[in-house]
Amino acid sequence: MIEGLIIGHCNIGEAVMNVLESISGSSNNLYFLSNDGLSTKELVQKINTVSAAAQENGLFIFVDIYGGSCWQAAKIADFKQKHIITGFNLPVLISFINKREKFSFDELTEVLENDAKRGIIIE
Amino acid sequence: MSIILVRIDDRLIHGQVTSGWCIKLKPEIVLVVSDEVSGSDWQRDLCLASLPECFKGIVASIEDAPQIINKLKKDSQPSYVLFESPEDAYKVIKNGAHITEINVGGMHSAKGKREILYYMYVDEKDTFYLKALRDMGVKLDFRNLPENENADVMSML
Repeated sequence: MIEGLIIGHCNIGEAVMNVLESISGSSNNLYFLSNDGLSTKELVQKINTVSAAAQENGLFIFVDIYGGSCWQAAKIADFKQKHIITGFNLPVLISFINKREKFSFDELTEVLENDAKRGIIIE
Repeated sequence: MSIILVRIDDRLIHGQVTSGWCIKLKPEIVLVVSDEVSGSDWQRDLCLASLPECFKGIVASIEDAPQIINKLKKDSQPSYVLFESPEDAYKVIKNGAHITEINVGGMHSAKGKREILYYMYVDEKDTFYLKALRDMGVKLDFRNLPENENADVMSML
């Protein structure tokens, strides 16, 4: 199964995981981290060791916002393969949970990009 | 005086700087002082990628910084100077940069550091250089964001 990591400021990761669990049920292989109190180097270390399977099979990293220490740490983190999706919303995360077993690692990015954008509805 | 903010923040360019501080004090130029970042193309690119396009970003080594800082002081364009640590700031001032006030923002956790505030972790080296900066006559203002109070960190060291 493709593994996912949600990284964000304060407790956004934890809060989002709680919401996902209430909507989609508990998810295996989906983790969260906060940058609270951590230097970028320490955050990189935590990302790199989040899952042994991810080191081997790759990781989708969902980052809350572009440019900050969470995004920089995701860029530096070292995996055989990774995709970074920055500016995540709930729809893209729900889509990730539902679709990650149906697509290949690279195909999934295009699917998620569409779902992320379709998830924003302005009325 | 065109340097409008000198800040110590081990995350260098990030949201608090480009959003939190920029809303209050608008720079046109951001100077990042770091031997590590200036010595590596990919780190330099990554660091500057975090800077919104409306700002001009410069990266300098500790050795080159004093000259660049003194020039920025005379320029009409408002600028920020960002240091990674009290040690770097001290060295640059000792080598001739004319800096009289520093905002101490983020010093995050690392091995051997103890927590002073939720955004401030220090070890002996940090303590030494913060005191040295104070003893040089540099005014230290401990705030993560502009709306925070200036925390009395020196008494906690």
